[in-house]
Amino acid sequence: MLEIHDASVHIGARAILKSVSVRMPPGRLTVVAGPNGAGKSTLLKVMTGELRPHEGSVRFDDRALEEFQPHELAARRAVLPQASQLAFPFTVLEVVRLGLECRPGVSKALRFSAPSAALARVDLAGFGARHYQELSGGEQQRVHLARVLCQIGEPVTAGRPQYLFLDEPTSSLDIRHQIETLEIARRFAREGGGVLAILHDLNLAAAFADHLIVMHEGEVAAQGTPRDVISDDLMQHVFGLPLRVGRLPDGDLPFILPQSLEGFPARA
Amino acid sequence: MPIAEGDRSRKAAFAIAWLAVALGALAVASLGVGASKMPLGDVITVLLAGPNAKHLPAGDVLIVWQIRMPRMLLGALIGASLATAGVVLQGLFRNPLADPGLVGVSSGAALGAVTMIVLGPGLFAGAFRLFEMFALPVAAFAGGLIATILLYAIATRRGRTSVATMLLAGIALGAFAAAGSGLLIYVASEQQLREITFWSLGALSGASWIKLTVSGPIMLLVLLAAPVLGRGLNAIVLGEAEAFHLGINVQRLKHLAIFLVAGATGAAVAVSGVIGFVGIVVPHLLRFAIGADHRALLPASALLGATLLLLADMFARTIVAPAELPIGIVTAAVGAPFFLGMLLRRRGIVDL
Repeated sequence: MLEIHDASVHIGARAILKSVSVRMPPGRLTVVAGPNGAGKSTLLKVMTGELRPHEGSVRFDDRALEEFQPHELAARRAVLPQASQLAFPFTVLEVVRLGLECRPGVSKALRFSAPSAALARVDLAGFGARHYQELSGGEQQRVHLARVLCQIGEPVTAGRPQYLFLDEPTSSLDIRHQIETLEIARRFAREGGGVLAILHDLNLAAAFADHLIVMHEGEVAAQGTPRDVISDDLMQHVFGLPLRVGRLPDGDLPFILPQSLEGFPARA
Repeated sequence: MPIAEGDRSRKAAFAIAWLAVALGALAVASLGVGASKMPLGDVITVLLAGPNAKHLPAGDVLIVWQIRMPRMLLGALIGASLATAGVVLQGLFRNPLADPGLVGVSSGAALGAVTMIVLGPGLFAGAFRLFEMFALPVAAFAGGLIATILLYAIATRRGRTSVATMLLAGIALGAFAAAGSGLLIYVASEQQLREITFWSLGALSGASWIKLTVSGPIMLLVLLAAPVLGRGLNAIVLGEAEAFHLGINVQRLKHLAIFLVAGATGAAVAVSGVIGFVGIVVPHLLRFAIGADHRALLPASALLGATLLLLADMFARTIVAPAELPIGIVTAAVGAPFFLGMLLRRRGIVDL
């Protein structure tokens, strides 16, 4: 279990996070959504140990997060960044293997098989010898997903749940790979791991999240199941959109069809 | 064990073995090259007989053991150190255009060295004269360290490095260090001026066993320590946050990297002045051949850097024989167009 309690972060006089408390239990796919600048990325940095909150605490398995050494954390949690350029000609295999190298005692057989298995899971089988720099943005994003899967191993390793953080994992993907990526994340949670993903697409959040946290101006505006959280009120107050939330007949799942705001009367 | 697609580690291991053999052969061959030529067979005979051989011509023994041997060893160590400093600096700054000579680290080291040449005699009078010799590389190291730390503080914000800022900051640091050196040269004596001028062109001709004893161990230490950085540099290429997520102690990695760059550059600059472009040409060529994995790139660059500097020195010693060119002129003449070529192909990166 990873939880933050009353965490606040400020840059100068501006508060980025205001007394936020969030739990990330194993076995659950937690999605964080919210407008740009709501504090989602800062929340992720606090939960991964990259940033220490100015107030409040972060506890990981009932131990303060700042007591963990970087290599101890790397053995228990992996973080998928937003895709980035590399200045050097690494092959896809070399990037994926970086994830394996932070795990102690990886056998030779696993060192050989794990990267190609991870590449197959993200639909990049046979891409090992390609140069990372020459791939499209979406392919690069999936290479990093394979790297992160290599780092984290099984959802439950040595009797303890592992944790996966995904920062906008679907941002440069086509719709099929968006769904496949979130299937991987959900399966990881079903098999006992903890997953936290930042998503902008509320429809994807509605379809995949076990638990949805909506951030707004550095605070948790709402949290619960997507069915309960995504509402007309939320759209108006958090996103400032007068859009109506639709409901799929199948299980009352909420959906939002983006459309032009011309002709919509502004609601109070 | 089969090799996975995209795995270049075995290829790199072969390359490293071949580079080691080539360096060894060239090192022996270089002992026969110079103002007085010596056939390879004679060189080997002199080598096998040892430095105190009485049955061989005294001139040959002197040339091989007292003149060319220390020069060859220093040249190899300097080439290896500069190439290693280049690889570490490029990994740290996440771009292939960083070179200790280009971004002001060598200029900082040079300012440290000039300071010691000019002000040292005043500091180390009488019995302390002995320390003066050792003070030169220490001062160069300190100058290089300050320059590297400044450069890092200026060019990196929130774990990201701007290539343009790095290159421009390097120009500013270089200009500042040159102004400092200029001021010192202004107050220097005739004898010190000669020493500074000679040294600033990048020359190996002053090589001796004494200089080797002073600077050699520092360079050797850096070369042995550098491979420890391999895994960390691989991770930091993805970004500082990503390296932390992969379990790297980023702060410690950066400190060690900056320390090693300053050590390698300072020791090299102290004995030979500023020799540019080795740190940029060598890793760039190797990335084409064996890939970017720093665990292979660091030892391979050390070997190729040593080899190329020995070649450059052999050229410098023979092209205008019996006089010789400062080796810095040779490396700049080859390296500067090479760097321009890289810059033209990578305009996109520099725009960042």
